[in-house]
Amino acid sequence: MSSPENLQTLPVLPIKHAVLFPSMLMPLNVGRPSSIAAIEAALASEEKEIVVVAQRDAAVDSPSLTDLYSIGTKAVIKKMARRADGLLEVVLLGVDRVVLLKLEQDGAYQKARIKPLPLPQEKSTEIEALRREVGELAVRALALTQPQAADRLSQLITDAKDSLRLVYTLAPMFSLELEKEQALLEAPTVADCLRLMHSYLAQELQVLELRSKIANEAQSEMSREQREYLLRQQLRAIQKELGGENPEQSEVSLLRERLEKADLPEEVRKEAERELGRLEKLPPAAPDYHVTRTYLEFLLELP
Amino acid sequence: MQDTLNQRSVVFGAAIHLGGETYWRPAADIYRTRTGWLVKYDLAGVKREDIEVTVKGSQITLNGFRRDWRLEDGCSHYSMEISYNRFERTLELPCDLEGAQIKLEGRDGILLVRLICEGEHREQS
Repeated sequence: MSSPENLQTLPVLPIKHAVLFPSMLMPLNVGRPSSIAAIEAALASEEKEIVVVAQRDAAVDSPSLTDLYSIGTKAVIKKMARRADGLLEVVLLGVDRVVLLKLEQDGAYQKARIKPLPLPQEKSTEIEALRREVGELAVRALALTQPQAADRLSQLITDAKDSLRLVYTLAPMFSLELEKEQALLEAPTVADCLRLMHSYLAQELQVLELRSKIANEAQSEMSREQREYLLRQQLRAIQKELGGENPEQSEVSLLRERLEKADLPEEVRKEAERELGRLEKLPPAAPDYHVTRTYLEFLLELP
Repeated sequence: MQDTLNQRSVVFGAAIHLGGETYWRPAADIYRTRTGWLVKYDLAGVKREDIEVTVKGSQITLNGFRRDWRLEDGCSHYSMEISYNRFERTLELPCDLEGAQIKLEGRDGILLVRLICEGEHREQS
C-alpha cells in the first residue's frame, strides 16, 4: 500500500515500556485482542509489515493517536507462533523509522497512515569521538551488569562501526526508561543520538559503580564479623579443651564476688547486678563491654 | 491478556544483530566453473521480477523481495518461520567480476546465477 509520496497505511502494534529500533530484533508475546488482530492483518499481507510504536502511558488499553508517540518503527514480522494460552509469540525486525500521521479503525485493529523518517547518516570527527566514548562507557557498564558475557559483548561493541546501530543495540541492554529510548529513536542527527546515549550511559555507570561499591562494603563488613565470630568460637573451644574458664568469664566471676561483698545501697546493688548480667552476654570485642566493666569497677570502688 | 517483552532475548537479539543486516540473507553455494563462477541461492517462492543481481569489483550482490500469497480463502497462520520481505546477500569472490556476463536461471526453488568471465576457460579436472 505505497503511494508516490512514500506514504503507507499499515496495521499498528502499540507496545508498552519499550521502543523497537531500526535494524533490531524484538521478541514479543502479544495478548491484547486488538494487537493480535493487527498481527494477523500483517501476516495476511504479502510483505508482513506492521508499525510498532510505543505507548506514552502503559495503563491505556486502547490507545488513540495522542496516547502514542508520533514517531515509531516500521517492522517486518520474522517469526510467529501461537501458544496454547492464546498468546502470539512474534519476532519483529525494525526496518525504517516512520512518522504516524493518522490512525483509523479497521475492524478489530487500528491502521496508521505513515511516512518515512529516514535515519540521519552524517559523519564527522566529533561523531567518531562520541562513538568511541559511548563504546568505552558501555564496556565499563557491561563489566558490572553482565560480567559473564562482558568479553563477547565488549568485542562486538568495539568492532561496531555504525554509530546508530551501536546506540540502538545498547539501549535495550541497559533497560533505559521509555522516554530515553524514545528520545534516541527521535534524535534528528547522529551526533545528537550519541550525545544522548553518552549522558544516559554516564548516569547509568555512576549508579552501577555506586551499587557495586555498596555491595562490596556490605560483603566485607559481613566477612569481618563472620571472621570474629569464628575466632571467638575457636577460642572458646580451645579453652574448653584445656579445662579452663575463659578470661571474660573469670573477669565476670571476680566482679560478681566483689559485688556480693560490697556494702552497697539496695538501689545501687540492683543497678550493678543488672549491668553485670549485661556484661556476661557481651562479647569482649564489643565497645560496650569495656564501658560496662569500667562502670562496674567504679561503682565497687566508691567509698 | 497483556503484551510482554522478553528483555533477555532482546539483548541477545541485539547483540547478534550488531554487525548484521536489516534484511534476510538467502543461503548460497559457490561453484567454480570452466567459464567463471556459478552461485546457487536458496530462494524458493521469489518471483524473477523481484530479483536483482549486481556486480561491483569482486563482489556480487543479490537483492530482492519475497512476497507471501494467500493459499486459499479462510486460512490463517498458525505459525510462521519463512522469511518474507526484502533480502540481500553480498558475496566476495577472489577475482574481478566487472564485465562478467550474468545469466539467471530458476530451478526448483533455487536461483542459479552464472558469471561468465571473458577469456576464462578452465580445463575440466
